Amino acid sequence: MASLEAVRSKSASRTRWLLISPAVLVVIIGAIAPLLVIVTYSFLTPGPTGGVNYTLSFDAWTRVLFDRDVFDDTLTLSGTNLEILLRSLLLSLATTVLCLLVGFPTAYFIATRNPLNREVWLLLVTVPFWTNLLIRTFAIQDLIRNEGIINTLLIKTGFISEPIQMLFTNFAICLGLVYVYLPLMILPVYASLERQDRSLLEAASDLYARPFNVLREIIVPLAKPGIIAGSILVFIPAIGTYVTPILLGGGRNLMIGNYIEFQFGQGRDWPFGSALSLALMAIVMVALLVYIRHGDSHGHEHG
Amino acid sequence: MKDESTPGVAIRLNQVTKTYGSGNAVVTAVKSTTLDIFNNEFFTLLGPSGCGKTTLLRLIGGFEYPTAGTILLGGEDIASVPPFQRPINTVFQNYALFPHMTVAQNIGFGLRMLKRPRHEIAARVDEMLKLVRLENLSDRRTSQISGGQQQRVALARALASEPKVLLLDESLSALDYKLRKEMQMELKSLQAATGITFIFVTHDQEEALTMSDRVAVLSSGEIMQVGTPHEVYIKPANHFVANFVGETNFLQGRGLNSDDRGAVIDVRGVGAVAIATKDRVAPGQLVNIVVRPEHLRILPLAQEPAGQLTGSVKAVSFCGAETQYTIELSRGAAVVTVRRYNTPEENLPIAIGDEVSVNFTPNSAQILPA
Ligand SMILES: Nc1ncnc2c1ncn2[C@@H]1O[C@H](COP(=O)(O)OP(=O)(O)OP(=O)(O)O)[C@@H](O)[C@H]1O
Ligand SMILES: [Mg+2]
Repeated sequence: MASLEAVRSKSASRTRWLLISPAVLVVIIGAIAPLLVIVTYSFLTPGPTGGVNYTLSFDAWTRVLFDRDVFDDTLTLSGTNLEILLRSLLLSLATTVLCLLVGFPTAYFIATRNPLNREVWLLLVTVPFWTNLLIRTFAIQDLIRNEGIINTLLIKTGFISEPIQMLFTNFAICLGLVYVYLPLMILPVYASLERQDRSLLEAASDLYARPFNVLREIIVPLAKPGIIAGSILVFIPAIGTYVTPILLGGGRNLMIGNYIEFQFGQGRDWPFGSALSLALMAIVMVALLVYIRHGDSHGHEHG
Repeated sequence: MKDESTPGVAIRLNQVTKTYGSGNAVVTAVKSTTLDIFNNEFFTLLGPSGCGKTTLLRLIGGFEYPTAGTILLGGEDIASVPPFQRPINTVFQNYALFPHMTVAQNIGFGLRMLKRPRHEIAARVDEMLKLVRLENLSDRRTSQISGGQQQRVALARALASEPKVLLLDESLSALDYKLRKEMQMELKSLQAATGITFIFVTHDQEEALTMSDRVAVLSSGEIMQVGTPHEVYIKPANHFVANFVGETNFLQGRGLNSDDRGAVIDVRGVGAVAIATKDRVAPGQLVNIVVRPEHLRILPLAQEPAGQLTGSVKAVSFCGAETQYTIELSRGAAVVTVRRYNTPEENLPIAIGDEVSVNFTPNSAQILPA
């Protein structure tokens, strides 16, 4: 009996492995292998015209945080690198918060329409995706540059006499990022709002909750999975963004994505680029862990 | 607007109408309804699906506003007061417990919204948990308790802030038979203990009869009859009530003559039948004689001379405490249902196909206009 059981379970497990092998293959080829390459590169030295020399070195990792003095090899905290990292973090955090502030009311608005209108509104939310990212970013450039529509209008109507410098500032980058990633916040938040049981809102109202309290006590807590998903979907691509800082931030306001690109391009320092990428990944992961942990514990103490 | 003239009235509906939709698609869910519900009363709204019970309850709870008419709570017009300002709480049909809160947090929610001090809330929550016997579940999530327990949490939550009126929408219909019976008793004693006015909605006439002090029977948005369960069952106001509340037999006929003590009706295919009633029946008037199945007596024809009615047995079904016979009266008068208690003394050998005589006493029947 027992042996039969064992044989059966053995063949069952073999079938299972066969069934999931395509997925495993994709994960290995698509995620693990490239990561291994990057990790390896980050411990090597740069080749003369890009690429790597196969000699072990921790130099790339050291330079993520420190500058090495050219003459006496002393290490000092790297101002430039930290500044870029910090700016990237703050900009993408600001983007996430702004997306939430704009996206939540939008999602709520859509979720409370009647079913037919909801479809239309959702379609409208996805319309920007139909246009190329570059073109959309250029369009923002055109809106906010000194001779652009906004400044021209403000000057014509006499609100200001000199154009406001908006293009090539952190504000411009943030605006661009919010514009690009807003749908990624709206959609998951909408999904979680749309599922909400209306009778819960009535029950809260029945139990003396004013409309604002219904929002704070019921709607937002129940939409938390959507808010978390949306924030992750916005934060991760925002922190690694590449096009927006170039077009809207000019050369001056680089983000870490541009810095990494530079190492693999003109900088010809692949190991350093690899180390930076991995550092970025680590930062994102830590941020996510803190965020999700915090979100959870908040939910448990709630009430 | 204050109306102090009737201190005993908890809720007064005055010519309340509610319509949904507009243009061609107007649905009148409640038709110009006038109704008084008294303090400390267990009041039931009874009616078939779609008759407007939920709508009536939602109007009282404040989730819908009347198209016309006024709703008074303790003499005060509340027709346009939002739910969070009405001292009326609801036990929702699907319970509507907050899934992100524990049992205790659910129960304390109303008091927290009323900004009561923490210690007071905690004490009250404990008291409510004890009342519904859920002390050991206070820290559970609402998804981790059974249907009957959820029901109790919903009840405790609605009662925690001591509302003037408690609304219950088909609260027991999701429970299995045994648990439902148990909860019926529990609700009833809870109502007596708290002294809060309960307005209970159900489509189950048996439930309505067992639990209520008074019942309102509704049909398509209109109140057909209001009265004690006894009145509604024994003296239904019309054909609808007689038919909906309990099982009934109808015998159609025309009036022959009537006086103060009774009337004689000519039942089609049967002949003259005497009924004790104070109502006058005009000669030739089309009426229905209403007799409950338990008021009909049957005996085998062979055993007794033919009574008022005769017929043949079409079906016999054993229901535990009683047996139900379906009898087709001779000459196609009607098909009637007869119910008899199964006692050892009255073990009648009646089977399908048997010819039987059917009798009822003049004062066990009633006459309603056809
Ligand atoms: N929001 C609404 N919009 C349009 N019509 C409605 C709405 N709510 C209810 N109705 C209609 O009003 C009538 C009464 O509905 P209501 O829900 O009050 O019935 P009910 O007696 O509670 O029925 P049930 O026993 O099935 O719950 C029905 O004909 C229903 O279709
Ligand atoms: Mg209903």
